[in-house]
Amino acid sequence: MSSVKLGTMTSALERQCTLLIHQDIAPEDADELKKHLESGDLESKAEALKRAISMQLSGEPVPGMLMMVIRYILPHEDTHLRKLGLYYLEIVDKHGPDGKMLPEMILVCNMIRNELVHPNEYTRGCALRFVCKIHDAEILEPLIPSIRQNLEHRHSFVRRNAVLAVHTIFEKFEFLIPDAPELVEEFLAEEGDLAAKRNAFVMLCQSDQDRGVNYLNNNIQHIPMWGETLQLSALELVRRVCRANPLEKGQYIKIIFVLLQSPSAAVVYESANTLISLSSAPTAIRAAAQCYCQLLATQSDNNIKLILLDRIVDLRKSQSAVLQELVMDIMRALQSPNMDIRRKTIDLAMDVITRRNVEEVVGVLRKELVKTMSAETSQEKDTVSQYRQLLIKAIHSASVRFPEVAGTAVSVLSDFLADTYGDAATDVIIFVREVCERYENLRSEVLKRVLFMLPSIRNASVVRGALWVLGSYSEQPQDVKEAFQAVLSGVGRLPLTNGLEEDGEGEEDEDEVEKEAKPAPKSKRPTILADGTYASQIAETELVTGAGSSTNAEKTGPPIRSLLMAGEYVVGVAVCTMLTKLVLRVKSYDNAPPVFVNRVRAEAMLVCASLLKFGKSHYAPVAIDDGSAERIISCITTMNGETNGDIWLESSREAFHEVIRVNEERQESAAQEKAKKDETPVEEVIDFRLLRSRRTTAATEADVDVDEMALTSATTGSSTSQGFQLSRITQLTGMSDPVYAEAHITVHQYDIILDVLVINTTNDTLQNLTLELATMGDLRLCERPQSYTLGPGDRKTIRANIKVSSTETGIIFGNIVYDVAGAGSASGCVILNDIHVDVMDYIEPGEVSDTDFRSMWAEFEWENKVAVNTTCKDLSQFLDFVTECTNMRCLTLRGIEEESGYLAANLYARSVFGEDALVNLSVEKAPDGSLAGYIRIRSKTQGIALSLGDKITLKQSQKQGPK
Amino acid sequence: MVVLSAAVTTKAGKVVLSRQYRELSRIRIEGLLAAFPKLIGTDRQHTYVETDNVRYVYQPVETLYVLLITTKNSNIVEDLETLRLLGKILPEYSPRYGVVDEESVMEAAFEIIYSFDEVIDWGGLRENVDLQQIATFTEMYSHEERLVKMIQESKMAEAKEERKRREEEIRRQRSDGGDRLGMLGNELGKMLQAGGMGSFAQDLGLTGLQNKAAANAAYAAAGGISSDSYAQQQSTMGMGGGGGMGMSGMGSQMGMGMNMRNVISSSSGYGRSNAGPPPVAGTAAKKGMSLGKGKKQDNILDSLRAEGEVVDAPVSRLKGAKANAAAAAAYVPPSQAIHLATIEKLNLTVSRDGGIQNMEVKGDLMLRVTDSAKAGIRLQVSTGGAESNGVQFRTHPNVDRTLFSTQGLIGLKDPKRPFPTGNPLGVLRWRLVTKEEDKAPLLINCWPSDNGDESVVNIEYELGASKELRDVVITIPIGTSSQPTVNQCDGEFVYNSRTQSVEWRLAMIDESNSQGSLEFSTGPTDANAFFPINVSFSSKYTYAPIVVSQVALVSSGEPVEFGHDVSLVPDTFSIV
Repeated sequence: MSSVKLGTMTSALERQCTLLIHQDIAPEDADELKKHLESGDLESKAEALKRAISMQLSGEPVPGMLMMVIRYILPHEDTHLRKLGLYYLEIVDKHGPDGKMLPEMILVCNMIRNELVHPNEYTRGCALRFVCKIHDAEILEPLIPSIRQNLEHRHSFVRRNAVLAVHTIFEKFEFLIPDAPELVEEFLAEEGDLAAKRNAFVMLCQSDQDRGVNYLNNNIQHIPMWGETLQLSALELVRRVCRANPLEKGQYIKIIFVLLQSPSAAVVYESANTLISLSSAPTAIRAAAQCYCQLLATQSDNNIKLILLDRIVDLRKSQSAVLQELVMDIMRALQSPNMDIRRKTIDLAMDVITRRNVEEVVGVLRKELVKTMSAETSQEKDTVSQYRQLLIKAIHSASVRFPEVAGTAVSVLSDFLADTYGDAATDVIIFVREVCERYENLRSEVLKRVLFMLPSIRNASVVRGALWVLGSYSEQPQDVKEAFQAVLSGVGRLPLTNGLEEDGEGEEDEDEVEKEAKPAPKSKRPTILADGTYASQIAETELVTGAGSSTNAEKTGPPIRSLLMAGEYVVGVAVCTMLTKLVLRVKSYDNAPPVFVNRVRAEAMLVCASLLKFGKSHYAPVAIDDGSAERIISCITTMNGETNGDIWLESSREAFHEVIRVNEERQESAAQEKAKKDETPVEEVIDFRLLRSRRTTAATEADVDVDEMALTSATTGSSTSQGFQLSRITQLTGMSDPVYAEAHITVHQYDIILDVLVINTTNDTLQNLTLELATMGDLRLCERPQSYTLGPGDRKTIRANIKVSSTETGIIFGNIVYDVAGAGSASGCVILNDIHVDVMDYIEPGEVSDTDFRSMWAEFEWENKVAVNTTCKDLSQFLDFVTECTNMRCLTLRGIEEESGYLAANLYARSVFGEDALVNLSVEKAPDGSLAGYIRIRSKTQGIALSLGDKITLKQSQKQGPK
Repeated sequence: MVVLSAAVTTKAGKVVLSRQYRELSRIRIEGLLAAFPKLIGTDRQHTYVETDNVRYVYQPVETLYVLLITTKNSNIVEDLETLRLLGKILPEYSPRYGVVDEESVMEAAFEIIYSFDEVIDWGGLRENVDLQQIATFTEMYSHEERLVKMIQESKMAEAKEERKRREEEIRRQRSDGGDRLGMLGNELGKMLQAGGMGSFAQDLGLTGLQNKAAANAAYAAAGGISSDSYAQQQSTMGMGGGGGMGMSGMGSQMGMGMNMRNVISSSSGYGRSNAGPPPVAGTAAKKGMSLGKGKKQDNILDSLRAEGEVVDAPVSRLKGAKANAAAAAAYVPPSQAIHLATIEKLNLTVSRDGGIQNMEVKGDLMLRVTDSAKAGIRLQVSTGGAESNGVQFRTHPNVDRTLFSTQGLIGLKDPKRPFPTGNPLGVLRWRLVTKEEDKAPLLINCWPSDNGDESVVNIEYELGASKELRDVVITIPIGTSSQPTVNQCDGEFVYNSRTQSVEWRLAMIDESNSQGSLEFSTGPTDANAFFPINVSFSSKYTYAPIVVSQVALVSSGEPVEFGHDVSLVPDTFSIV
């Protein structure tokens, strides 16, 4: 009975909906439709009925249609037409506006009964299916005998649907078939058809668990021979039973182990799930996890793999020990070419890595890394380089955590320093830098590697990184010497001039370098590889080709030189800085002979000077910028001994140390937060199932099992109603208006629900009172207004649903119109206040890496630039203010704003619709203490950029207002 | 493993069609479908998305997506299987061969939905079907329907023949003369009666004097038979051709119809036996298999045991059996061949100051004969002088009224006819309308009084016209949700918080406790809130003391054993 009431009380949108069909046909004339329905032609009848259905679905029902269908469709002898008629009945409103059942339904009832006893088995089946969707006991009651009769029909199609019908009816209206469980149990005992058996079994499981268990126990030997669908249902039952009664677990664990061997992937997967939910014993978990791994290896579908990985990740929280054993199996998923899978696998592997298995894991990663080198020719470069980056990062984090693998990692990774494609080399140099800082014992080894690779590095930022490492960590005289020589030969013959005559010397330098660093025999001719391509990664080959043509003369010579010649002054600065550091280091040796020191210093200064000269000469492609020039000059002065050298040697390393520390702290705090989330709060209720089941029945709220919870949350949506909050109430009309209205706004993900309370403040009855709403922005009303009648002083709550499709500030406005009852048909209208839908309701702070931020920043089309206009005098206060009012997260390191007098910060947030919002703050403190600068907002869509901009402007002015 | 919805959308996100397999509100499903296009990224290589509550699994088909919305713990392997099948359906039903685009799907929307329904059950579980089966199911060609149609047609033709023949005969007889017509009518009636078409026979028997009417009736009978036969066919289908066709004597063509039915029933028997218990061979095979695996499994189980899992718990198998027995006990079939029931229903409204507003008693004597051999009977009934008390008796139209009024016998007008068997038949009906207060079975006096902070209610009853009342429940609404307190009570006092009422229960009221009272107090309430008071009871003493002294066979006068139940229950008994 309750469902009957529900059906009438709620609006069309909240009613159950089984069918949605989109059709663009213009609404047709009702008479025309009726004429078609009456016609004898089958085609036009069916067509007209289809139209009627889509009109009903689009909310424009044809009046009197139901009767037409009853008269002309349901008694028709064509099976297909009658079936279509049932679909119409399914969606049509079975209750009148007064909430009572329509009188036509009695006729319908009779028609359905005829269908249920029709000789055509498919007609019966369809009718039974339709019966499942009826919510009225009154309609169902007379049909029960026919439905029961169908359980014995000789055709399995009928039987299987009959069971389904019995099931749904029993669930909804138990009193209609009180003996349904017995009935179905008997049915199940005799049934041979798999589908019917399954349906019957499911019915027993859900309606009368004991009988289901009974059946399961009686057939326990046959389970391995059952069909896939039935096995799955059996597993579900086992889950339910064991949850309700853990003592019986033992009986079923055997079944599950049997089913784990099933040839069907679906069954194996489900068995593993079930096993995990039943037992947390390591053996069980291991068996389940092994199954996952096996599926991971055998299933080719990416979706399955990803979901399997998710399940394994779930296991990690409680059972990481088991996963540690299986990590090698999990790593097999790396075979898949899919990046998402690879990423997830590597993440997972990194999570369960321990001292014991780290060697193996890194070994696999290394192998994969080697594979990427050979794959590069055949596969798409992008994915390979992405994957390579991923691997490098993984090895990086592994060796940070486990120093014992750092050594091997360095030797593997340093080969990639010369990688020219993508950012892999950059990642490697970052890694190398960190290793140098962390592990003193590895330093000399690392330095050797870097020195070895230096001549072949072509990427400017990698060169800079390498130079920094050489400059900062070369401490032993031998290292210093080698580094010094390597750089000098990298820079080549001085002075830096452009031209053919230099080539000879360049080559010589190159030879020297080769002799020192790479004793391998060098060939002057292009090497031809086995597959017939030219090997091109060796520097001198390029040198040869470069020497032949003067057009790419800048590229000739060692990479550092060619970079310098191309006008990369930042590299030049790095060279000078590094030389300066080396010189200072040499100076600091106690036993260094002054002659030697002076010679070194002179050479270094020469390099600096020639760089300066080159930058200002006409050879340079671009003139040197002031900043670089300044830095180089300061190098020279330092070497001259005019300024203190400590800052060069110590501070930079200290700063780097600090960066590493901060990063570590950040990771730790993130890990702690994560751990906190997993922790059970102190005040959490502990649930003793055994104790509870004695005093209450089994079906208490807390006992609702996981499956059902998932189902209810899926069908009804998350029940995160924020509840009734006074702050969310907006007054829509004045107190003295004839109609007072206020709205309570609830924002769900994609819906805004307005509960509008309307009160008639007059002494007249208001008829046809309608709340008419309209929207501005990306909002859509999804219902037509209904009209109500309000007596004097009466109140009513009207609910309106509004759909949102993107993050944007929207405005809802409207009016209330009404007629005053009585002699004069006076009507009135009250204009409502606007309701502003706040963009902040959709924005949540997010985290994104700097590189992603930059790439998004470059990509996004919409930018909104807002000038800073504030009375705030404090930079960090201002940043706090902006993050607070935009609900965004600051990505930039904080803490030195006040010292520096300027602020550059990136903020990031994500909307519930998955849109990214980027904000950059560039603010400077003027000498008078006021702040000036810009806030730039970028996003993919215009809406966010504009709305956020408006928001910031508004908040700024508000903040100023009260002051 | 639950599919909530199967849908087809365009790549741009427009929903072309969607079919739900669980109860979902429109706003919810539209919300879910609207969210979908925003969730799918462009450069993903997998085809599922998860949100907080649901998982979307989709598959691109040309310019469209086929989409399943499932619960998050749904079995992905299964769902992908389902999805693949759904994807194959689209081109199958496209009006332009194999072309799948928005337009063609829209045109074939219903056909596609029909097929979707075959793949997924209501409730969201997958059916194990392939395209071939789906095609069979949606085509809906039924062999049985054709057979039934053929039978029907042949019978129609036959009835037409018969009609023609009769018309011919009547025409001939009319020319012979009028007095034989009545006999013909009677004869026709008997013939049909023998065939079980009782009501028609009766009509014919009564109206058989007019020849025109007779002809019409015969026609109607023929028509009626052909339309009824369909239902009869149905009822006999499962049982394998029982009797009751009642037309076997009518023509040779009928024989064919019967034969056909036999064919059907035998084939149905075959179908059933096919679907019998699983083959025995399976168990033997299993034994061989389990030898090898048992050991490994035992190892696992042993280690589980070692880890503290309960592995060998006994499982009670008795629960189901017990429930069975209980269900069986609930239904007791009537043991006697002839069962009589006197049922009186009372409608009584008493105003709270005493006087009867309206009192009506309706009684029925129901006769139920289960043995057709004992259907030709007469009942010896005494009304116990109830007529003098204002009770009016009426008999069933088929019951001989004069026999009843003169001898107190209830029998059919036609002594040769038996009573219908199976269903209870009301043979005698009576009614009593009165305003006399002393006729009420129970007098109830209710005195609510309000003393400011609480209301005290005094109720007393007094046994009225009835001798004994059982299971008396007097329900007094109290209009507040506060728990009432009982000050004094004869009998049992129950507070029902759901209906906010007090139930005063008395297992039995008779001479020994012909008066009683109840006093309780509750929160301050308006006196009107305690009305209407409703009373329910049951009693064995009816207003019309009908006694059936004997039931005897008409043919031999031999007495037959019978059972008789008497009950008086109120339909409505309220004090307003």
